[in-house]
Amino acid sequence: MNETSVLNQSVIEEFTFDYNDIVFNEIEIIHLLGYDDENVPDPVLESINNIFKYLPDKVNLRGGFKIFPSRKVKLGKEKFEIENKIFNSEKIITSHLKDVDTIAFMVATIGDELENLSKSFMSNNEMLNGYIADKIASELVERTADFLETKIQNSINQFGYKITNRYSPGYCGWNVKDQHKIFSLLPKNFCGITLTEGALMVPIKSISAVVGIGKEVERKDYECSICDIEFCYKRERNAKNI
Amino acid sequence: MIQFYFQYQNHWLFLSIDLQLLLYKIMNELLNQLSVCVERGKINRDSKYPTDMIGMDGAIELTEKALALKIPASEVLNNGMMLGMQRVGVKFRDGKIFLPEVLIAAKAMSAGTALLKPYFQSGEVKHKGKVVVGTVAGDLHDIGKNLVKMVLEGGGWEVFDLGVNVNAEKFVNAVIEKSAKIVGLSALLTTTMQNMELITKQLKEEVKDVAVFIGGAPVTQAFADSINADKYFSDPQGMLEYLDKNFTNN
Repeated sequence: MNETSVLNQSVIEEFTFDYNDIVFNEIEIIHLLGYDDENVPDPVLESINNIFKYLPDKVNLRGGFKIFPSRKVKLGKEKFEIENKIFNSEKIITSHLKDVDTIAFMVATIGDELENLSKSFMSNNEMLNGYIADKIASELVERTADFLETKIQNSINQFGYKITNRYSPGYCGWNVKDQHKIFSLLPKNFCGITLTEGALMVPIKSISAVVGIGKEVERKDYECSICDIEFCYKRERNAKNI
Repeated sequence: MIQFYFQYQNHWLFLSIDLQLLLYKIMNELLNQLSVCVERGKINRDSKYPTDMIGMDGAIELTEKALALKIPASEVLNNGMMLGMQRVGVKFRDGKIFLPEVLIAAKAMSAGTALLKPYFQSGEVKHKGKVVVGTVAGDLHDIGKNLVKMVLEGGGWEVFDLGVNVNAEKFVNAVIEKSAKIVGLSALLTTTMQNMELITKQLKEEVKDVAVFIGGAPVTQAFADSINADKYFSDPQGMLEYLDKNFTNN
């Protein structure tokens, strides 16, 4: 990639990540479950520790992104358009993309191993382990996406470009159906992720998102205060400063 | 009542024991211990949690003892295990404990109620009512639905789990077949939550007086109102408390 290619041609990259590259530990899960460092019940701690031991060898962390040439990107007040496909991302998200020079789609996944572990616990009536495995999986995929964001930022740093926060279909009013359009602009089976008819990503613990790229962009957090989804995962993470 | 004299250190003492009262106190203490075991998640004598109860009887042994003493199974359930779960519910509602502890308690409850299965089958013990749950068509997320199932079962409800990706027809058939009047719909996606509307509509059209409750990350009370669902719950405990209050023995 060079400075002109950032804005003038499609750039696609795909990675397999090492678990040890992801900043992630047991304490964050403890906090996400609602506990402080001192009052964690033994079975909860034991479950977290056991699942963390399982993680390094059993998760398959992958991520990738595609940066679109700026000439193929049009930005509106409540939607944006790429290669003649219209994305109805609503105004919360588009307001955060208004100063960008171009747009990238990113996807990240942890594979289906941890999801299967959670299901296996559940089917054996080990609800606590199943719940904690699911919670860890949800957080791990967020952290994998965080790491991918850093990769994107690092790849364009040298040219003076910055990225916005990532914004995903299904949040901030953006209909998750648009995920079909996102994946239609990515290589088939990108990072091993497929979509169901209902726009559900498989493996389930996967993230897709849009990020804006520009020299003047400002990185802002999700504005949970103006969204009406009270029990959203983003809101939970924001409230716990995770 | 039995009365007798006995010798103690060269003195004759008179003792009168009200056996009925004694037995009543033993039974009450047993049920109280059982409720504490459920509340604290003590499954059996071998359980290493809670640490201050190591080596003590757990929900399994105490249920066995209670049944051996011929305490009615319904008493064991209602005045033992259920009391423990109710205290858990209050602590959860007050923010003193979190969902993992509810699940820990529900597991102990589940271990105890497994011993009551023959009594449920004979009709000596009755569930509070029947609930059909499932994740709606197009959606494969099952964790929330599974948690609801466990907490409702722990609270004394009979739950029929239809699994994931369940369409309206399956919900309607299950509700009719099981003679249930309560349905819980789960969805985690903004696309699949739209299917809740169709399922709710079909249930309301085909089953008289059915109550449809919904839950899941993207769902809100406003959405429940808009699709004519009866109520939205953000957590399983909230649903349990609402059902206990409004639908017991529906």
